[in-house]
Amino acid sequence: MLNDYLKTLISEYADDELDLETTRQVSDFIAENSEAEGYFNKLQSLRRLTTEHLREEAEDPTLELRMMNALRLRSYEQTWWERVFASRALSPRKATAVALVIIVIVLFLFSYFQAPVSRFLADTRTRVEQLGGEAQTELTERRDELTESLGELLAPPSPDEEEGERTTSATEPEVSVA
Amino acid sequence: MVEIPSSLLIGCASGDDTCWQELIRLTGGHFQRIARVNLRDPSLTDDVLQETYFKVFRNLRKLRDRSRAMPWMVQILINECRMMNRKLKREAQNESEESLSYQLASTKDDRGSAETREILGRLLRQLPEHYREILVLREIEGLDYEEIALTLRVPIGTVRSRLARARTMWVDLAGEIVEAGGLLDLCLDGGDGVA
Repeated sequence: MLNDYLKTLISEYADDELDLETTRQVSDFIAENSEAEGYFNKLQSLRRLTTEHLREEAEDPTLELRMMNALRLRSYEQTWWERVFASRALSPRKATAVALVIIVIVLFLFSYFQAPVSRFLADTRTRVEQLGGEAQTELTERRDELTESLGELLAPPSPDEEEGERTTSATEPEVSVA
Repeated sequence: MVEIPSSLLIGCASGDDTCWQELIRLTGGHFQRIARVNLRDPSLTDDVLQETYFKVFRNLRKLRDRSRAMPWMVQILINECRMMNRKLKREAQNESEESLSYQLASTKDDRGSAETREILGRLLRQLPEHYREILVLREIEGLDYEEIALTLRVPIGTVRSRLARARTMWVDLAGEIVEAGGLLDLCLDGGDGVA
């Protein structure tokens, strides 16, 4: 069974697209392998048949004429923007009317979308202020907590606490190092 | 691939009728062959060619590299064929297609050149679009790998692999037709002196 790689090589061999060494190898392979030989022969037959019947098909003598006529006719066709600009849509009165209509539409759209936009902006501002206030409160609480704990750490111990500590150390057994 | 002189393209871009006639004379036959095989319905070849030339007419001024005019035009033609085929496919969705094998068997005893041409065309039309296009450019138009890569805008490696795959399918399909008792059996065996 010929795999894709071999078929690609045979295809390129048929087109004479391989280097000399590979061409020799593929040629030997085709000569030795009956399946490859059958595939190659069938391919070449199809190619010859196609070349003879489809490539060398007689030229149509009227084609040029037909195409030229069609092209001439179609060359007068205008695109939609050419039609707009060529028509009288832009005569002074119509142009003014169109401009007015556009302005009205823009104003309408502006007023229509203004309220939701303003509402959105106001909501956002309120939310931002609220978040700022919360953050400020939280920071103040943290600061107070921190100040309090620092105060506790830095304050000198009271005489009662010192006495207690001394008693505790006296009752503890002594550990001999030796 | 046909070389289109730069002066001719300049003349066409300026709307010179004689230049357009010359351009159509140079390219018309090639375009016709490509379109006939690529279209599901070859009778629409003229429509596709008209559309192609019209698009060339509209866009020629935008073409910067004039040395690539021919691949550019073939690309437009192939796109037009694809669009037309899609349109035909939509229209023919509910219609059953005639069996190629049946058609071939029915023409077995009438092996004229026109019939062989028709059968070969139908054989190519049975292939998927990408494979058909590359086979047409190689086998019918005789473009080399680089020109095909330029026309289809694909790397040359893709051209090699796609062409090999297309040929495998092509040969297999022809084999099926031979088994179905079609006309090609004699052609492929050298019966009509071609192969």
